[in-house]
Amino acid sequence: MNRTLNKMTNWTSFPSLVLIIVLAIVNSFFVHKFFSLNYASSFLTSYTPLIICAMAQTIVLLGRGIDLSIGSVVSLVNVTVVTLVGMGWSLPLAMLVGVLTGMAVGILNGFVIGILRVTPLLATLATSSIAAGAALWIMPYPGGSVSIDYVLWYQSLIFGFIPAPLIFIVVALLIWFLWRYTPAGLQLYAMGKDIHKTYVSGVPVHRTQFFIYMTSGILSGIAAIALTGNTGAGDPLIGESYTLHAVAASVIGGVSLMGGSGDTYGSIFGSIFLGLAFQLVFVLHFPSYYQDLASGVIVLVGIIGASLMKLRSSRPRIMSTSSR
Amino acid sequence: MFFSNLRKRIGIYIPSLSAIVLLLILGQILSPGFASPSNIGNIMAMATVLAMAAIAQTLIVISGNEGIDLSIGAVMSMGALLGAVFSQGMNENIWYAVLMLTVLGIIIGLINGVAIQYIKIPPLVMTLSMASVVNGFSLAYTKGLPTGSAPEWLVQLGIGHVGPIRWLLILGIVLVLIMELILRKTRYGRTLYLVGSNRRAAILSGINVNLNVILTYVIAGVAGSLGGLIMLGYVGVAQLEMGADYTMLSVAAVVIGGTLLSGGSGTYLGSALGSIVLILLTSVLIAVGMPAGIRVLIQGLILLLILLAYSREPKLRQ
Repeated sequence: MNRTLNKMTNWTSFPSLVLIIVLAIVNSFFVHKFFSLNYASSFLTSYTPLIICAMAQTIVLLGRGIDLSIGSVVSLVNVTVVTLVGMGWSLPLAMLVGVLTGMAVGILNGFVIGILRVTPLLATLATSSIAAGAALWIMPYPGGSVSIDYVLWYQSLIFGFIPAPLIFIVVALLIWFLWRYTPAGLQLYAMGKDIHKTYVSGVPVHRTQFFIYMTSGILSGIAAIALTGNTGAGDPLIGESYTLHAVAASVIGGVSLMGGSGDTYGSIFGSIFLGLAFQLVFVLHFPSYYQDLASGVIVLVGIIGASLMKLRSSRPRIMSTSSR
Repeated sequence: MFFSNLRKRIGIYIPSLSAIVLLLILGQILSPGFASPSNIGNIMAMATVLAMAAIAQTLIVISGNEGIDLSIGAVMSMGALLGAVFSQGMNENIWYAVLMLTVLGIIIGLINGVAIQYIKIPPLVMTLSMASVVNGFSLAYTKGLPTGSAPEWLVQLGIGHVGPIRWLLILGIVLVLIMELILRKTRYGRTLYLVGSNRRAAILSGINVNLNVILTYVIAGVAGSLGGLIMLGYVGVAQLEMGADYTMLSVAAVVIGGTLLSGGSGTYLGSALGSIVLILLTSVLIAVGMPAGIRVLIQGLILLLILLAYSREPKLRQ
């Protein structure tokens, strides 16, 4: 019993779990029927895209990279799906093409970073601009729509008790398991800790990096499909905020920005934390023009808080190997 | 000796200089009148606005530690929006606007710098979240309805000229001179290069690295907010997030200018030339009637190609 407790409190995702519980209790004072299936379902409808984007970012961060193109990919996939549906394509086919589009950007990232060795920060900044431009080109102004059936299904409860967005999260989790429970996962964590040693141990780091970014692209595509179910329409700028929020959710969930530590559950908790905090701002009825500032401050404070905790727990090590 | 030194010094400017000439010729072919003096003056004026953003980006990239400023677009938008609010379109209020924007720029830079140096948040993440806070702040302060317009003096600076030369071109040249002087001759500038190339050596030689880096982010904040004011003068009216593009463009300008992201090297003249290249490219694309989406796409593609040409990391095997 004691050992399990110890393991639990040392879990990198533990602090974010505590934060969620605290915030849930606070929220429950303001929201009517907060602890109900209906509220959980509507919460998931809004924040599933963020959860999946954060999972994508986490995989990249674990390998000591960063993907700044997530938000633009979400926009690009959203407008692609809506445009194809508008041209008379069937929805499943349009979704497939959408996810493949996300994968294509991921492959471009993976190729440029893994094979051509450009630093992830600048490479994904460039591809982010490419994807954002493509999205604006395909659909210069918000518009279009997907079938209402899909929107209704996305917001419904399957068998009366499973929120439909959960299916997207499960798919994303399966992709995470593909990493976690195969040698690839070990390589991912090893790369995040020390890429040189990993390379010397015979791990094909370039190939792993390629697949990391490809996975991130696929997950961003899936997130965009979920988002399309929530909004039901196309918007070339809709994904913009997801890049930052995905990073913030990962960091709040205990994923290290220096790579090699954390896991995807942390990013899920981090996203739920952000979602609850945003909801709190919403139910407190701030004037609408203060809400952007409020959510910006929440994200900033979350990142600073998580970084301060990391700093305190790892101070002795930092003192002795201070190189930055 | 002298000539080899000279060649080395000019060498990094050759790609951008040749790109400028090529783009001018291309523009003239595709759209006659492109290389006319008035259009070139216009391009140089726009390049100066971008060069203001490039001040922040260049200094931060030189400071090393994967330094990058993703908040510059938001800070410039804030400068333009609040500049219009503070001045209310009146010349006598310009100094008040300048003072307030300088203070705001210092605050933003201080928060960025302190969080990066003392809380060890990577610059990329810190400045990205700062961008969202600053955008939110601008929205909250203007209550979503930007009021006020550019004072006449500012508009004069933005679009007026003295004789045949645009005021903004003069400002651009002055900026290049001042920045090169700061980087090469002052204690701050020379320290910055050492801090950027080897933090550890800088600490061991008794340099106050934290102070140097925080000062860099403060200068970047002020350059951004005052750059926004210049942008307001050029455009004439303020809009929400009007400077958003400058984040990506300033990074691209710095990379074209030959400054390496690993830090510790680079020149401001290079970034200024890079700004001209990017504005020329955008103008050529506009001249041939490319929609906004394609322009953004091509800007990204160009950045990617430049990165492939200049900024590849060494092989792991070495």
